[in-house]
Amino acid sequence: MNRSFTIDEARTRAHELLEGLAVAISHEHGVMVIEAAAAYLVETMKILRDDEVFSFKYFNFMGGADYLDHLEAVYLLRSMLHPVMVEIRVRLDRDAPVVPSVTSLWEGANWHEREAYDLFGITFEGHPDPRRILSRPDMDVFPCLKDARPHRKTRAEWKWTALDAPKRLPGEPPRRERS
Amino acid sequence: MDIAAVAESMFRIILAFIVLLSVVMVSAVIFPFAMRRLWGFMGDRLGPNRVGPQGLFQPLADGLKLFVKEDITPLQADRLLFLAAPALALFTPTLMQVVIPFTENYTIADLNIGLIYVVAVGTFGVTGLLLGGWASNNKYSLLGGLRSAAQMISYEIPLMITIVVVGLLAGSLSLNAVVDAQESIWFVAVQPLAFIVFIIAGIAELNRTPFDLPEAESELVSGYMTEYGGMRFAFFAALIEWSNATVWALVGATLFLGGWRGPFGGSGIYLALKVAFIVFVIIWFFSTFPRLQVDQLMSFCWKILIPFSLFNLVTTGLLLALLPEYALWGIAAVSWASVILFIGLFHRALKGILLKKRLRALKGF
Amino acid sequence: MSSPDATGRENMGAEAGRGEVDGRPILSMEEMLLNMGPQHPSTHGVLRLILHLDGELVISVDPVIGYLHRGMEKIAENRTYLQMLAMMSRMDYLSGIFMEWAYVRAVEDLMDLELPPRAEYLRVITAELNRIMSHHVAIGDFMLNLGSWTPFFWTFRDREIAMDLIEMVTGQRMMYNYMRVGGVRYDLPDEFEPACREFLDYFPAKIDEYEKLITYNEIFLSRTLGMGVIPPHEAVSQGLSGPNLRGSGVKWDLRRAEPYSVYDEFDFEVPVGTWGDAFDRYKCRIEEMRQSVRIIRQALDGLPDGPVNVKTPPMLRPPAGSIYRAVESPRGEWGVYMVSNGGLRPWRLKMRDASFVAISMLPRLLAGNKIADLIAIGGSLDVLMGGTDR
Repeated sequence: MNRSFTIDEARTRAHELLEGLAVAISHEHGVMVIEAAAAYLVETMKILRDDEVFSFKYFNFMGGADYLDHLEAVYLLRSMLHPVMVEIRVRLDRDAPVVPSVTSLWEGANWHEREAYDLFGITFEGHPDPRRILSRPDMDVFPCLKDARPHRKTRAEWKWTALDAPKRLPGEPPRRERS
Repeated sequence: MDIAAVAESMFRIILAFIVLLSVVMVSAVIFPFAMRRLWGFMGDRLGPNRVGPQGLFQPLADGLKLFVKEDITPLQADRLLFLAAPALALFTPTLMQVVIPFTENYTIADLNIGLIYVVAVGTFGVTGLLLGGWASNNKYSLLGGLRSAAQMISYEIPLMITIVVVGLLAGSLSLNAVVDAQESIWFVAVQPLAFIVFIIAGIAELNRTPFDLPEAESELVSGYMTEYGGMRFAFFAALIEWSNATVWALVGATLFLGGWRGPFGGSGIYLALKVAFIVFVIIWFFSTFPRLQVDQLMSFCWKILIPFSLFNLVTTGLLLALLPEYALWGIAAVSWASVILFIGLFHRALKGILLKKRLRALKGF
Repeated sequence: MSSPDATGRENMGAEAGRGEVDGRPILSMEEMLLNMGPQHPSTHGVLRLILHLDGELVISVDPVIGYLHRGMEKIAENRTYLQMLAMMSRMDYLSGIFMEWAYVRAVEDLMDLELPPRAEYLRVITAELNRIMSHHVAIGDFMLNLGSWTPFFWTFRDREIAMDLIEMVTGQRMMYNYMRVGGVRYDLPDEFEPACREFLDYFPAKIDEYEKLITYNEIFLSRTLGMGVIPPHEAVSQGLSGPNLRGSGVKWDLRRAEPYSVYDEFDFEVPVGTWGDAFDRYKCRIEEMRQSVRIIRQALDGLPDGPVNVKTPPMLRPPAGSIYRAVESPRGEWGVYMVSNGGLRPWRLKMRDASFVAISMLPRLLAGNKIADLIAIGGSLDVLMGGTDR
């Protein structure tokens, strides 16, 4: 492990490697932050993974974040050769959040992307298994969006539930009818 | 017909019923309790000790609780078979005792083909479990029932071969003759290999750890008895399991440990002590070993137990036929040698096999 | 195991249809769909596995998670920083200290707080005790999955002592709520140190006892050797961590790789396996318990005096920014990604859990094995649904 690799060296190298790909490179609390465009995401990630100095081979996690005017997809990568971590942020349109899937680079990205879809509604292009993961499959909101409101049942839906309830068992007191 | 003779035969039949059922019932009460206390002791716990002195009334409390529970039959189950399966499974332990000499002069029926009878009735035991598993209409139950069928049929073979070896040694198929033949020396000293094979195959036959695959809690929830509840569950879990264990221990004690024989004249007490010892071994195994996997279970039977017991059968037969005077010494020598060889080689052979398995697994990914 | 496909389903299904798995012909039967869990004795909580079976052979596995989903990431956005701290140990409830630790580290580093050394030492002591407790459950449950009961009782017997110790310090057995931003809640009580030293003297002999019962048992060996092999490159690309990663031979422990807190002052080793099978993962956990004992002993010896926390304002307002901080929990890397907008509440709190990653590995790991091995492999990964579903 190369402990002497500092974050400034990492930033210089990232500038060289990602010329024209990354929007901005900075650092925050000991993590190198790369802002990438959705269109070049897979390319950027591939360069970061395959570069022998960086060697960001360990996919830590990916998640979403809601900033009211835009969404962000956040990827965190680790290297086993040096202590610098990299955080890749992709700014997404809030109305149609689409980002290419990185499952072709890391198998482990599969479920993290499913979770980001589940919580934020971010669509991953080329994802092998785009389903919800934590919430119910028939849920109709993306719960971690700041403006997500739980679905309130309409009067008609409540009525349907009451009709669908099991019949009275022998010996059970009669139910009070709901008006 | 003489009225006295009729009365005597009636008395004998009633006595037989009392003996058969009391062995089944008493074992179903005592051994589960003994198992839980011993298991607790081995797990550094107390075990049930609250109901009555030292928890002695715990089995009664459990039985009462299970007895008053609702008897549930799943809607989609095959009702007749579902209800009949526990009763069918109880046939084996009850009927198998018929040929066992309990004391010097009490055997319910001294059949001259007692050993064959034991094997035949023992094979029948799987029917109840298989039917119970199938009729429950539950996938876990089905898997459990199928596992128990496969396992019991496989382990039946080394068991039978072992019993034939005992028959050869005794020169008769009657269990009374087997006990008589052990007057000078118990067969466990002459044939330790056969005894070990008998214990292993018997534990497999009883679905006990490490061969408890049919009811593997962590895999199949409860195997063939998943859907049973209340008294029917008690039938499977306590009555049948433990009376089976007791009866197998009875057979084992009769075949290898000299039956009712012991110092200062024989009696039923010695038989009971020997049974308790074999059941203790079963409990000991239970709290020590993890469970085998299905194909390991099968390959252990077909690749190790059957060849060893066949070898044992052939050498015993040859020695008996060729050197009738020194046969017992010869058999004992061969048997002890092969036991030592087995214990010495087993670990080494297993290590080699497992290393190969590891290499294959790493390559195969 | 030849399933290049991510879920493994189509591929293995096709192979079973051909009547051939692993290059060996099999008797092709009707495929059986078995829904294992969420209420099943050995799915470690509420994991549900949809199995496609061919007899005993598993053709494909589809893990369904979310039965313990409490929406903690959303709850965090409506709680103040201190209120959320109380929720953290409810995540991975067997190793609550680590959840709190990652959280307070993130907040402290956002606020640039300097901790008193005694607080760091107390954090290390409680955390390592908690690691031992968590490994107790891992090993006991793993053996229970393999059908052996006694190891479970033995490990839980010793876990009880460790629990009493940690209760002395934190006042709780599981949901500690012990860490505070800027230190810890309580100092050690007087009776803790002798009791803890007694435990440290008692416990290594008990680890040897577990090993005598478990490690050299032929049945255990034949159940675990070569089972559920994860090669190192797979483990890294999947993002596995903790004993699951180290079992594959990757020497990667956050306590050594990016030493946080005071871990660089202690002398301990990072145990690694070679083959990456269930046995190596089990062995790593056993060795880690030994190393934890070493760490606690060193921490008790070098325990500095002083305050156990720094004064922080009653309402925490970390400056705006985003931060990722991780700790090495018993299950692997537990990380907290926090976005603050300078307000009273976290703007976004994302938690990275190691069991989540380990479960996502299951479809590729289990296809082509028997049901019994499925349980064994799942147990060897030591997953916990509390952390996975959050």
